[in-house]
Amino acid sequence: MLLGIASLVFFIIHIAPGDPLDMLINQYQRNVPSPETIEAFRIKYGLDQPIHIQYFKWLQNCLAGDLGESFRYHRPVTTLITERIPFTIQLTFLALLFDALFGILLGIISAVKQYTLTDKIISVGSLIIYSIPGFWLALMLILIFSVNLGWLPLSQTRSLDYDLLSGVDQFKDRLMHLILPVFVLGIASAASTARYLRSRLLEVLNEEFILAARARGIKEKAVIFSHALKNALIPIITIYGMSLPFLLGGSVLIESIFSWPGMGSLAIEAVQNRDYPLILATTMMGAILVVLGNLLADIMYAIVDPRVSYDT
Amino acid sequence: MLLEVTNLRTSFFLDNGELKAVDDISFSIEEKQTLAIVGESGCGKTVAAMSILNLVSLPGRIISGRVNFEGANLLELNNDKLCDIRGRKIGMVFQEPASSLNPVFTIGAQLRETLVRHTQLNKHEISARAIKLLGDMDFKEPENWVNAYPHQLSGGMKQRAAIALAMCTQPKLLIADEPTTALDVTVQAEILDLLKFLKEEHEMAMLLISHDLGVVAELADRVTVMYAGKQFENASLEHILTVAKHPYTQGLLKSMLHLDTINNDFLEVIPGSVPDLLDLPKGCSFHPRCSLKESICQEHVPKISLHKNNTLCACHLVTNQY
Amino acid sequence: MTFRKLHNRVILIIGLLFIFNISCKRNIKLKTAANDKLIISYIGDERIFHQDYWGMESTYWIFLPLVKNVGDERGEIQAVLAESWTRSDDYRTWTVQLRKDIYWHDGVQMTAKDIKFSIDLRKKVTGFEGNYNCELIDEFSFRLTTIKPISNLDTWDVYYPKHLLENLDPENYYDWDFWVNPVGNGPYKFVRDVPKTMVEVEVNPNYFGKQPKIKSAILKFSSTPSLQELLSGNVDVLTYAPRDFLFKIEGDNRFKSYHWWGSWAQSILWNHNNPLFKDASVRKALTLAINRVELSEVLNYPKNIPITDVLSTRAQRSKYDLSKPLPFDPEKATKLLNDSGWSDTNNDGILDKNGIDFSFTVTLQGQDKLMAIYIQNNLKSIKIGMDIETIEGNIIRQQLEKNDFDAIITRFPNSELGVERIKTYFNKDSQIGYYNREIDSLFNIIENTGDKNEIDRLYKKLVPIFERDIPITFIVPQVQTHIVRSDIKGLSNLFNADPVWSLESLWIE
Repeated sequence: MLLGIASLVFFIIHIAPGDPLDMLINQYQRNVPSPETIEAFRIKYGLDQPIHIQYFKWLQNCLAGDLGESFRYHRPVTTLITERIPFTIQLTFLALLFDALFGILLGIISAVKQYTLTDKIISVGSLIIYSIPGFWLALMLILIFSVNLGWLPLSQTRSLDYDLLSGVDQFKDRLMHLILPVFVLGIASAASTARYLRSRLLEVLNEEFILAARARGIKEKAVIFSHALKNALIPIITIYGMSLPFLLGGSVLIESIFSWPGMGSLAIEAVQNRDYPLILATTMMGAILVVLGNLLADIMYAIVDPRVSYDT
Repeated sequence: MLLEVTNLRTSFFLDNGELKAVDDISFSIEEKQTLAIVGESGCGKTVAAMSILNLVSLPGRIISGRVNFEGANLLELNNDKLCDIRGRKIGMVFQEPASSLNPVFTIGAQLRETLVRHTQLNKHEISARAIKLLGDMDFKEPENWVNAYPHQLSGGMKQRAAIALAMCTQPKLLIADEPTTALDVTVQAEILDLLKFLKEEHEMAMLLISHDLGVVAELADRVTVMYAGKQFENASLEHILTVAKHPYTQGLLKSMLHLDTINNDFLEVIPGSVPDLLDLPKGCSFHPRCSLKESICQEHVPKISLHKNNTLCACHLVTNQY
Repeated sequence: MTFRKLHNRVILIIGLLFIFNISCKRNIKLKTAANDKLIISYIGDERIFHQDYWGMESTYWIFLPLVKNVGDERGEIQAVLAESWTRSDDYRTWTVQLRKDIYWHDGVQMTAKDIKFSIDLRKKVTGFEGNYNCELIDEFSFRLTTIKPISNLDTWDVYYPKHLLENLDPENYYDWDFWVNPVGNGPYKFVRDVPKTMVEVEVNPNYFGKQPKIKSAILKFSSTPSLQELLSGNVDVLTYAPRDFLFKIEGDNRFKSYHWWGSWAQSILWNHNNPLFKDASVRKALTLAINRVELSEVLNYPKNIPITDVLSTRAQRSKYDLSKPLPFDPEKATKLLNDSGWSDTNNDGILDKNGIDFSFTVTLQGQDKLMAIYIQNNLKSIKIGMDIETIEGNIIRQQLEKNDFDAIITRFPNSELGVERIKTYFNKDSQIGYYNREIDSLFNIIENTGDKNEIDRLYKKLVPIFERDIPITFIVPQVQTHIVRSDIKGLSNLFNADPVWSLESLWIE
């Protein structure tokens, strides 16, 4: 399947109108390159070969780990990616963590306190937050917390005088910069996790084994956190497996608003710059991650739910 | 008196009105005695059992009544004390074995959890006890089954595991809500035998809920008949089976399959169906289906009255002649 | 309403008021920058000083060219690294003397060997033969020979220290660590960087030129220009600000904006192979119908933008030594069209001739859409139908190559330095289908002329041809805007509008 995706991506990009060398040539706007120079470039990048040969060469290189050289940056694609991945992972991992903790907590609270004011506030609140477009929320929060109140930094991953800070302060600085983007990324999915968990939990709490546990005198806290939660979390945990593409791929919108140098903005820049090797690499990465994510979700499902087993 | 239920009233407050699931029920169970609550589906017997342990959840509420267990009113106990009684002194077995066991925990885990909760034994002892319990419930090789998940057990085994869970701490009272209804006939017999054995062995009182008079006949000492939330008759098993007074009870008995009635062409049934609890008929709730009804039955709700041989009956036609 | 509900509503309203209050615009008193440090919002990353990679003006903080343009209307050049030079009569051989007081930031003195090394390196790495061949004469002088005559020494290319780079592998040219930790000979030297976040430079005490008043500067990287950064005082300068930011800071005297317009002109390229546009008077009519002055006002361009119908040199434009453009005269436009046989015979609001409607599609990039809509409106009032289609820049180039378009709105290089490119529009293989022998031969001469005054005269010869033919309609020059804090002085429109380019001559009051 991965091969199919790779091939599809390769051919679609090459079918798209526009000469791949265009970017290369027009980068040097001052000089009009001579036809000989253009030819030399074409040969250097192997673009004079028939397309199936290009395809096989590319596949070969990929398997050997060489993802080619970016047309725009003239640096190996793998370098560009490895430069940016840590930034993305910092952001998305914390966002997922925030999502899990906050969402699960709120879900439990609103399920346990069903019909009370707390439940209504959480339910309506999470619906509102879930519906707010991410970029609007980001801009609003920036306006309030960075521009007007000045409590949090506006953008980027660290302060301008990061190098001059002590180790502890450096850590604090990075944390401060992470607060807003992580919050914006995490809150929407936390809201939907809360809602989903609430309904799952209510379902589970109506099951007979919960009643049986209560009838055995098991304390309410253990009933909820042990008996009910373990059942209710099964579908939710498997969904986290599917967040693999998000984890490594980042979010283009948020990265752009916060000037966060991550994978998302790399992918978008690649497309805007018609940087073929980079586009191919990032798209392939995305595709592989989606497949792996699905696989991960299935595996987690088997681990978490004892009723499910795959014949090994 | 181990358990004494007095004037228990439990209703469900729905959008379209108050559903009186249990309307003024009284009964008592002595030590080592088995009382069966009999009635058609929806008559409130399960709710009555739940009410005893104060396990009724919204939108239902216990409105009034007393449930005296070993002298203390369970309905007035705070949650902690109540939790101590549940599972330790009173055990409960449910109708559907498949759904009364938590599917993501092993049998052993659930047993150990209950033991930890209610006993002071150490880990080692608890593990041993769990295995022993399963052995008592006729599990072959209980040390293997202790690590099994519910979905790996057959229906009968599941119910036996559920009973083991209820019997963890050798309770004084076992509430069994339709314990055999979901099982097939051969397995039913197994379970009934097991229950009988446990009753004897542990000198345990039992509250049996069933609509199956056959099961009742095997286990019960006394029987109380419920209909649409109300108690119609309460008497010893013998009395019920032989000289039941209430027309409803009589109807129930007639509609049972006996070996000698198989040759008949028609099955006796009670005409009509159970009324909607939100829209009970005026007067005696059974009167639309009763073949012996009189005009008074349509007007006044019959009060439950005591008759000879410690029999209770709620019917206008069964006067205090005795 | 029960007390509880009232209570909740009051809280809700108070909460909303609070949020409303703190989200309202607030004029933050900007902290005066340390008198000698500027924070500039820029697009780039920590390799920003690498000319071949980013090619931004900030390169010139660290690295220097031989000569540069003086920032005024004379258009003359000023010596930078070169102390003096002589040229051959055919403008193809230049003998240059290097200054003897240039030191790299690590203390080593710069010699002509560095010049030769850099030129050869660039050739090897970019694959462009470029224009130059470099021969060393002695330690501080060298000779450059070019294929085509050039009017001046090159003002763009910078030079690198041979002693630091000669042992590096040119294969990894773009990956060299040197670009992250550059050692140059410019007025500023590199201090430190935070990856993907910023770079900091400070003044080079051994700079051979005048010491800048601004002692240090920070380039803060962002992927898009952010007004928020400016408004919250995080940066002092916002470069390449989009037009709509100007509306937002109107009347705000904490900031000033400066504009630069250069060689590029926003133009409509008519496809002369399309029968609609074959006729010169039709093209004239179309140009007459567009109110270019009002358009530049609408786009919030600075007031005295030069509008022209002809090609010109940079100097001519800066001195406003231009012929008058066609005025805005829709009636004359209609008359010209009628004379060419176009009239609205079927009363459908569009001119037609011989059963064909005068309607066409103009293709352009998304950023020019506003301009296109305005023009569409203008043309509609003289009953010409224009459809707008936005596509990607590369497709436009493709369309030009294949001559597959009606009209294109794009920027046209209007500078005597880009003659190679310009002449492709007017020669036998013209991408707009317009082969003009006169223009073609003029450009051939211009290409081979070195003398600036001669080039000036030749360009003036183009004027009547363009005025007569209007092969391309030049709309407005392309404008770049920079927004800075008002206390930064030394900038002016057109010649000193880019704070990064002019950093060494700025000061804070």
